[in-house]
Amino acid sequence: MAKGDSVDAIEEVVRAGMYPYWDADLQRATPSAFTAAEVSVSRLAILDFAQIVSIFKSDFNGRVHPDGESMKVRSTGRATVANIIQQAEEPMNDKNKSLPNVVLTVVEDKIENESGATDNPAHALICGWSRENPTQSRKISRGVANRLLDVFRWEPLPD
Amino acid sequence: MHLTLSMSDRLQYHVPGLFYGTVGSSMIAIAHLLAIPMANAAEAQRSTSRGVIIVECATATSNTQQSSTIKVGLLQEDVSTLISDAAKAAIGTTGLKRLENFFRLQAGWDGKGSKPIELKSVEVFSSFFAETGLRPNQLGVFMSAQGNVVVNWLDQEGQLVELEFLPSGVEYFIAKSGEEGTTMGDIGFSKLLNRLAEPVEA
Repeated sequence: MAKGDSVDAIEEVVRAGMYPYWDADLQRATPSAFTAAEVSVSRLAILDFAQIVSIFKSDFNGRVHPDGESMKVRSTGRATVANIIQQAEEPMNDKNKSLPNVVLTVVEDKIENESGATDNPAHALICGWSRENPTQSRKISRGVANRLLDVFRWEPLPD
Repeated sequence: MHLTLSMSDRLQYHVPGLFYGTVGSSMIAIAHLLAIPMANAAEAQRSTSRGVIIVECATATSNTQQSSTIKVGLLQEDVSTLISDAAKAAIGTTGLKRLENFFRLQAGWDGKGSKPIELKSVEVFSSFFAETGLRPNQLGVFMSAQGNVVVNWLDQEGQLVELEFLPSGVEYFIAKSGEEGTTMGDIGFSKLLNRLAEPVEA
C-alpha cells in the first residue's frame, strides 16, 4: 500500500486524545480535534494498540515544555473507517436535509525518516474534501467534527 | 528551560479595546434571553477600557520552533497579563491554567500542520469576553491544531455550543440547530451574540 491509498473500510483506526482537546475536569472534549483538513490517526491493522500509544506519547509528550507534566496524552479513541466516512454522508440535521459540504476519506500516510517525528508505519490521515469539488482539500466542518467526536469511543489511558 | 528576553528582543504594543460601544447595552438583554450569567456592566466596561496588553516577539507569529520557544518565554512574564479580566472571569482559574499550558506546546504537537498558540487568537478571545460579558457556566477551554483558542459549553438542553477564536474573527457552532459559521470584525461579536440568543424551532 502506498502513501495516499485508501484505507480499507473495515479497518479500525486510533486517535490520540491530547491535552488541548480534552478537559479532564469538565470531562468534555472539543470537536476541534477533527476540524483540520487532515487529521492524524493510526491503523490497528499495522501496529498493535500498545505500539501506537507508545508513538503518541513519544510524539506529543516530547513536544511539551519540560514543566508540562500534566499535559501528557491521557486518552485514545477508536473508530472504523466506514463509520468515519459515513459521518459526512448524513444530512446536516432534521431541518436541513442537505449533506455537509465536506466529504471524508481515510488514506495511508506512513511516517518514515521525517525530521522531528517518530516513525509510524501505521500513520494515516482522515482528509476533508469539498463536496462540490472533490479534488479540493477542505477543513472538516464543525458539525461533522462533532459527530466524529461521538463516533470515536474515547477511553482514558492508564498512567 | 529558562528563557530571559531582553527588551531589545521584543516588540511591545497595546491593543486598545477595539469594539467600544458597539455591542454595549444590548448585551444585558441578550444575556437574559440566553439565561447566561453575565459579568456586571461596570466590570466589562473596565476591562474593555483597560485594553489588552500583548507582549510579543516580532517573529512570534511564524510557525517555527523559534516562535514556540519565544511563546514559552512569555510564561516567564505571566500569560495572564495577555488576557482581559472579563475573559479570566469567564474561564476561571482552571481554564486560565489550561490556557497557560497551551503556551508550552511546540509546532507539530498534533502532526505536521499543527501550530503553537496563535497570539492574535488569544487577543480576539480576550476582546470577545471583555466586550460581551458573556459568562456561560462550566466553560471549557481548548486549543485547535491551528493554534487558536477554542471555548465550549453546554446549553440548557445539554447541547454543545462552541467558539473558535480566529486571528480575525470567530467561528461558531451551535449543535442544537446544527448551525455553524464565521463572524468577522467588531460587528461580528454582537451578531454572534444575537445568533446564540435566537430560539431554535422544534
